Amino acid sequence: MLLTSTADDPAWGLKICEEADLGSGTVYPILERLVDAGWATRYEESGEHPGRPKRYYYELTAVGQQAAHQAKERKPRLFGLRSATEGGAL
Amino acid sequence: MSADEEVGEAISRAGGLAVVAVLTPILTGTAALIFLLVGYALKLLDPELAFAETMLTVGWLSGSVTAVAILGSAITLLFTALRNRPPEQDLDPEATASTPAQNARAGLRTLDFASFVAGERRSHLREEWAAVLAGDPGSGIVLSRRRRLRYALGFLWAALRMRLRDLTGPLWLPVDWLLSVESRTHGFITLAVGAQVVYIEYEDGLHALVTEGWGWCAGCGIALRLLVGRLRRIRGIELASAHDDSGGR
Repeated sequence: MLLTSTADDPAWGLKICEEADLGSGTVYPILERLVDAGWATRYEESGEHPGRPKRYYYELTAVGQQAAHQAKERKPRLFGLRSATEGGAL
Repeated sequence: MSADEEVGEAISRAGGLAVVAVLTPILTGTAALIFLLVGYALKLLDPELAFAETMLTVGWLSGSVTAVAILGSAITLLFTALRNRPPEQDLDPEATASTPAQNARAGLRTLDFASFVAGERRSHLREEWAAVLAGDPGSGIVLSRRRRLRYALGFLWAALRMRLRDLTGPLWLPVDWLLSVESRTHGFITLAVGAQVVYIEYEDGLHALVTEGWGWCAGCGIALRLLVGRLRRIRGIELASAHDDSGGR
């Protein structure tokens, strides 16, 4: 989800929960850990936001993107039966 | 004094009480667990040991205190959060104007409580979560009352998990220290299996160790090895040499 977000369409809490089909109780502790680890950054919405509270957006840092790609390439191997480069979507 | 300052002062006043309310059941629960584990372990080694009985008594007593503390803390936190709830205009009234007031209040109360539990360090989450509850009509996401409540309860769960992580973080330090270097992990597993070997040999003799006991020791070693792998995945610990077949980084 964070990997596919763009500057025009950044990821924020509700969008992440809806698209990842995960509850807010699951998503926010993960986001906090990503931010604490330096894998993601959180920034406030800078533009006008009439009629609603300010949103906070999340995006992966360079370190986070690198770690995500490495994790994607390194899918778990079952007793060496699957190659390291095999794997589904993250 | 501005509304923000008033809210900040209210949160600060209630902060101490909230910390006590959250900490008490966790600390008494941890104490109960430790006393009971040590008590039963001692009793296993020597059923006649009076000290083991004392440990178990203290353990069960702590367990009872924990149960009462959980109830007391829940009530305290709920009342404190409701009493210190910031004024609703702070949440951008326009955002809730489009939804029925009753629906908005139910979600906002839970949201206030959740942000309160999350602590002052995460004060930004209140506004962030309020934005989530406001939905995203522009993208076709309009939250019904039930979904708003589900999200709000999720925030409460998230806040509790974050607080628990804050409190248990230091407890992971020795585990992380052990897991972060392969030689330490090997040393720990060898020590555990070695202690088992010595115990079986001492209690049942070398014959029992060679004929039956070795299986238990091997099983213990394999189980610990799997546990180490699992804990490393949970803690996000990766050894530099684990995935580097070319000779290390």
